[in-house]
Amino acid sequence: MNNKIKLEEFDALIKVTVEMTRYLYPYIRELFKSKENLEENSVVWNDFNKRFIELIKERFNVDSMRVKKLLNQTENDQLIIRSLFTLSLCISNQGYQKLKSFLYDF
Amino acid sequence: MQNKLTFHQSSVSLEIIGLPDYSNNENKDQISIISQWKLTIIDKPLIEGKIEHLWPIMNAFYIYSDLLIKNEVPSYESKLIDIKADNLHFHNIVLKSSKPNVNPLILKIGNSLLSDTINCFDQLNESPKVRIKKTDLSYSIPKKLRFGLNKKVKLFNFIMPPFIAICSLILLSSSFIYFYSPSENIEKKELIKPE
Repeated sequence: MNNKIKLEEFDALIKVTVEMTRYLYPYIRELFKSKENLEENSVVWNDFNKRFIELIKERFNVDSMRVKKLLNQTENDQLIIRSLFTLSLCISNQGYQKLKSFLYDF
Repeated sequence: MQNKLTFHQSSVSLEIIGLPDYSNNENKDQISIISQWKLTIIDKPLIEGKIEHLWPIMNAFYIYSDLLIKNEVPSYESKLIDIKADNLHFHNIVLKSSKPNVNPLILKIGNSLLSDTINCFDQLNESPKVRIKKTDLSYSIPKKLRFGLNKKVKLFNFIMPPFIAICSLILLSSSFIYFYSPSENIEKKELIKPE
């Protein structure tokens, strides 16, 4: 099976991701705030993290070392925060170009 | 009479005050000559200054956020502003006054306020009502798109599928919050602690 992504598909995925990020920006902020103050407001972050791990287990190959890293609590926190932060900066009108640039630099 | 434009993003708002450049036949609601700006972050002291302070501060935020995203050492220092990461979730900002004998303003903001602030700056950059001299603003979207496209395509094929997959999972998980009902929790608490 060819798992290489075409440039047009890549562009389309970025557009969908940016649109979803604009829509979900308030929830991304809530996740940041929950993590900033985990003692008082852990529900949002814990629910999100639980669902994130469930989805990884459902859809990813959990035997892969990379995926195992994603399931590691300490490593995945950093990755999730970085990914959420990247997404949160891409809600402007030029969000598509910004996300594309961030990904090219990734 | 000066024009005033305000850009809002959740807990942050940026106010720009200035005049149109009538010598260029600009509309009266345009701002080309910025005389003052105010950055209001909820629960934090007001930040305000002149035009020559705005661009260095915007630059600092853009460069710092770039460093954060690239997982490099998140630290920015200049004559006007220092930004350093306290940890993964908090950032320390030191704003140094250009006036003598004025103590620097120290702020600690989380990722939520940092992204709100940068989004306010984005709105200013993209506003058709404010003309920014591009020479004043050294930050711009990275120009890597212009070159090296072909060389990087192989790398994209390697990196993009997992990154997009992770982003999708994050967004899907975020949408899961819809199912969280605070009212249920309140009811539970009432059951535990009846008044």
